Formats: sequence, structure tokens, C-alpha cells
Amino acid sequence: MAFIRALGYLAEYIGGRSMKIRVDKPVKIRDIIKLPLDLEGRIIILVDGQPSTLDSLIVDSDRIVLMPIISGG
Amino acid sequence: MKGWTGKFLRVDVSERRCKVENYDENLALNFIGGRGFAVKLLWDELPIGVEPFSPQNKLIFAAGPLTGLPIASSGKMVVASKSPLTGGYGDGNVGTMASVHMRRAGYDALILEGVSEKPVYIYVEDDKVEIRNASDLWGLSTFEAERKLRENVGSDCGILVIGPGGENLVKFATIISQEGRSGGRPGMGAVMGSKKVKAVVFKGTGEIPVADMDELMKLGRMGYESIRKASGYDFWIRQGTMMTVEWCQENSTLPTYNFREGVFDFAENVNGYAMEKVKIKRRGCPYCNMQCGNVIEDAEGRSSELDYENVTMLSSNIGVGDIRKVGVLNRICDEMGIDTISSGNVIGFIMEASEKGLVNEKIEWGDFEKAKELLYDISYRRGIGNLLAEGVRKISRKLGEGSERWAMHVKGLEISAYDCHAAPGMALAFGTSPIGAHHKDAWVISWEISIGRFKYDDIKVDKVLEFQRIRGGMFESLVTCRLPWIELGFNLDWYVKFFKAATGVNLSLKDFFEVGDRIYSLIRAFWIREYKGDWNREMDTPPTRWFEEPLTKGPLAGKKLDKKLWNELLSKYYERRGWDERGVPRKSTLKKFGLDFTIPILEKYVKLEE
Ligand code: SF4
Repeated sequence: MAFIRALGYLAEYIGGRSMKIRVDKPVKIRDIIKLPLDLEGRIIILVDGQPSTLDSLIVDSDRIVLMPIISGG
Repeated sequence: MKGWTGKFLRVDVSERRCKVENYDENLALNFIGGRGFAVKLLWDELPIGVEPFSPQNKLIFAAGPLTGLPIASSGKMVVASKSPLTGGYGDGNVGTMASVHMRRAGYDALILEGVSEKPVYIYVEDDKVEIRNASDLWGLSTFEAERKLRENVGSDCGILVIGPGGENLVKFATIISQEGRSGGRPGMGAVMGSKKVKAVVFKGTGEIPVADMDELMKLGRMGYESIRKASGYDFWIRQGTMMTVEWCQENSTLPTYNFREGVFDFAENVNGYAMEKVKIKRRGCPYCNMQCGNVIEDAEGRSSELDYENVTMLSSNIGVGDIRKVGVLNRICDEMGIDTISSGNVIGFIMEASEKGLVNEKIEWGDFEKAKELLYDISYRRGIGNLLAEGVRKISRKLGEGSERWAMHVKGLEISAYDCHAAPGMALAFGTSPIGAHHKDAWVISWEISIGRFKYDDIKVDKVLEFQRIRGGMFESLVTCRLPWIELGFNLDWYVKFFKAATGVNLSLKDFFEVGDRIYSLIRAFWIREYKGDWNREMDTPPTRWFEEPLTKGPLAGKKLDKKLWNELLSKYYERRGWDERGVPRKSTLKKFGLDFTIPILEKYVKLEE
């Protein structure tokens, strides 16, 4: 299972703060998580701690973190 | 001039004299407003090396050409002075109706000077300016004082007030407005207290001059609409900056136990979701449609307005893992008029000092009752509070025994709420922030994580500079809030258009950035002048802890900053700024930005490189 964690408002796009998903073959993140266009430049994606993009391929066992780019308090 | 009122109000409380002054258009074009005006006025008017609490120090309340106009998040004001905490340039940004009313009264800035014999407050109603007796307000909390003032002056005005912290010259006392909006971390409240000025009331009934009001109104409406429609807006309205707790915990940047760690075991109890459970309302700055002040019912049944910085510094950094208790600590800081960030920082420091046996008092991590007591002791300078009120740099110098290594400050200003063991770019931002360690200018962690947090690349230097130009230069001189830009993707071009409509002047983003660079070099010159040339790159270097003591918890256990590589980043930063290896601006840089007037003065103290 791939584990997806979504921070802040991104939780609303995966239906919760985290989810597990079965990935049978490598798949692009954008194919499993649908985000509005205006968010594309406003998010950070880490796959197992490595900077990634919506086009990165993930496999079962990956830990994906989606987070908004924010600017602090 | 349009956009700017073209006028400053000068009030001397020693002589009880008030004067309205027209200022030169070139000042507006070269420094824009806010922080730009503040540093230029301080450079020009303060005697070199002035004692921060002397009558000759000045407290500046400065707006910018966008302040108080019906456009996104424009109800802000800069408060600035020579800082009693750092000994250098200090400023802060506060969202308040006072900014709107000051502009409507016809002023872009108030310059407060002298020292009054007795407590006073300044009452400004358009061109009527009075210095009024405040004996009955002195000693009151900021909340009580503001309420009492409103009984006298009515509700249609803006009020800035200090609490016991400012009155008792706590070095990190702030200026408060509207029961929770606070600004001026480096002791601006203490400077106001030293002048015996309890409050400033602005009531303005005029109109702010605008070059093209129709266009401005149209842009204003479109801007608000764009913010409201941005993805993430609804969540922002729910949590505001409080979502950063979860974010920092995930990324091991949550300041924990005096910045020893980047994760906190009880983060889930103090994050945005925990806050939502006890939230009772939302409030914020004027003209903002994304108001981020989350008001909760605290553990004592009172209202407390929370945001990320104050929550984290008063929770994970001192080990308190209950949002309602944190609410109490936060509310006490606001009532007393002391800075939440520095308060959490010095309390974290003294808890560690107690743990290490450096002080006799037993002050344990997470001891909420003790933390509460300490906040009052700081505000009234009682017992150990008297030492804590001096700020962490001075406390550590007094305690010695190597505590300087974990005194978490830069240039004497306590570090705000981001741990940088694994964020060299953010450590550079803290190091080079123009008021001492604060996040308001360049908060680059997010971006840094997106490109590889452990790298020490030139692009990190460029990013810090870019953010400093935008946030520290443009937003702090236009004086509008920095949050819509990144949080809700509000494009910077909006500000170029707002500025054109307000002033009739065409400036590009590049022009604004140049103004930002000018302001930065002048602020740096001010520090060097006030430190009488006793300046080197250590002044821009974060505390030893981040370089020598690795994180021990969380996924990044073992990580720390690399001093050699970090120093290379700092050198590159200096090079790009046109400063030498000591962090002193080169002559050519000062000339390039039209700051030639600083050269003869700086040359009295340091040798300037060409
Ligand atoms: S976003 Fe928050 S800080 Fe900025 S103007 Fe609005 S209420 Fe004030």
C-alpha cells in the first residue's frame, strides 16, 4: 500500500488527512489525486522525503506527503 | 502627490509640541513608505549611539501609499525605533484601525519624540492633536486601557496601546491594538513606555488622496474576489496560520524544547485541528477578507486570539501541550503587551537553564502554572522575571557557562517559531533578517523543502534575497499584508496595479525590489553606525546549537547545519548584496542606491571597501 498524507487544505482533496491506496503498477500522482489547476504551483510533494512532482511515478510502499507552500505565521 | 498624504505628524512629549510637516516627494519615491520611511527618519534624526530609552530616541508609526485603501489586506502599520533589545534597527507590523484612521486624518507617519513627565496619551482627530493625561490608564492591561479609552473617545477610531510590559521597559514589549493585534517585537512597546505614552488614538474623517479612485475601487473588488475564489480559501478561513503547526511537525521544523528538536510529542493537541475544536470566532486586520485571527476560549474561559507563532513558542518550545492553556499564556502576553515569540523563547531558555542547574529556581518543561507566573514576573520585572525581561542574549551573557551556545537569537532578537537544524536557507533568512531573527522578511522553508532541504546551493541565497525584496522591501514599504501572496496565490502584479491606481506612479516589480535593496543597505548601515563599527559576520550567524547539537527525535534525527557550507552561503549572500565579507555595505553599493550620505558617517567607524 502507498501511504498518502495531505496537509492543510489539501486534506480536502484526498478526503482526509491521510489515506492508503493500493498501487499495482507505477502510477503518476496526478492520476490518483485530482487537484484544481490553480494549486499546481502552490504545493510541495515529497515521496519518501524526496522532492517530487505531480508527474512523479509512485509505487506501492511509497510514503507521499502533499503540502501547501505556505509563508509562515 | 496622490496615494501619499505627503505629511508627517511630529509630537514631542517633552516640550508638549505638535507639528505637521510636509515631506519631500523624493522620499516617497525612493523609500515608498512604512519601513522605508522609518529607517530614513531614524538615520537622519537620531543622534548616533542614542540610548533607546532617552528622549532623543524616536518612535515612528508609519503607513505606506496603499495603507487604509479598500484593497486586499491594507490595514497595516509599521512601528519602528532604535531597539532597546538589540541596539539596532527595530520594527514590527501591526494590523489596526489606527493605520486607516491615521491616513484618513491626513498623515503618512507619526514621529513620537521626547519623554513626558507624566503618563499621557496622544489624541489625533484630523488636524486637532492633543497630548492628554493618562494617569488613570497607566498600569492597566492593554485590553482594559483600550476599553476605557473607547468610553472617552468613542468606537470610531483606531487605538494603539501599551501594557505593563511597555511601562516597565520589558525589552520585548510590543504595541497592541484591538485586544490581540500586536507589533514591534524588538521592544517598540518599551520605547513607547519610556516616553510615558500609554496610547495613541487616531480618528480620521478625511479621504486618503488617490490618483484614480474608480480604477482603485475596481481593482480592489477584483482582488478581493480573486482571493475569495482561490483554492484553499475556506480552509484558510478555518485555520489561518494555525495550519502551520501540522506542517512544521511533519517537516521537523517545529521549535521544541528551546529549539533542541523539530518535532513535539503533543503537536496534535496544539495544531489547527485542536484549535478548531475550541474556536469561537475569527477576527483580523481592517480591509482583509481572509482574516486569520482565530479566537478561542482559553482554559480560563476568556477569549484569546491565536496564530501560529504565538501558539508554537508558547507550546512546543516550552513543552505545554494543551491549546486552551496555550491560549491563556498568549492572552496574558497580549494583555501585558509583551511579545509572545520572545516570551516563549526566554521561558524555553530558562527551563533549559534550570534543567542544567544554571539557576536555582525549579522551572520544569511544560509547567503551565510556572510559565504563567513568569509572564507576569517578566511584565512587572519581579524576581527572575527582571532578568528574563532583558531578552535571551543578555540572560545568557549573565548566566555564562556556555549558555550562549543555546541562547536562540540573532543580533539579540529571539528566533521566531521555526527550527533550522535541517533548513540552511531558512537559517540564512534568520541570520540576515534586518531586525534580528524574525521570519517576516524571508520565510523560505517551504520552498527550500520543495527543492531539497539539505542542499547549500546558490539558489537558496537567491531565494532569500528574492523574499527579502518582496516581503521585507515591497510589502513592508507599501504596508500591506504579506500573507495573500503565497497563502492564496495572490499574484504580485496586483500590487503594481494597486500602486499605479493609488499614486499615479508607474513602478515595476523590479523598481520595488530596488527600493527594497536600498532599504536593506540603509538598515545595515544604521546597525553598523549604532554598534560604532563593532561588526562582523558573527552578527548574522544563527546560534551554535543548530550547528553542533543534532536533532535527536523524529525522521530527521541526527541532522544539523554544516558551519562551513553555511558560511559559504552567507558569503554569497553578502556578495550579491554588494556587502563585504564582514557584512558591511561597499561604497559602490551605497552610492548605487543613493545612500552616499551614509559614507562619511560609516567611515568614522569602519573602513569601507570600494
Ligand atoms: S491575513 Fe491575517 S495578518 Fe494579514 S491582513 Fe488579514 S488578518 Fe491581518
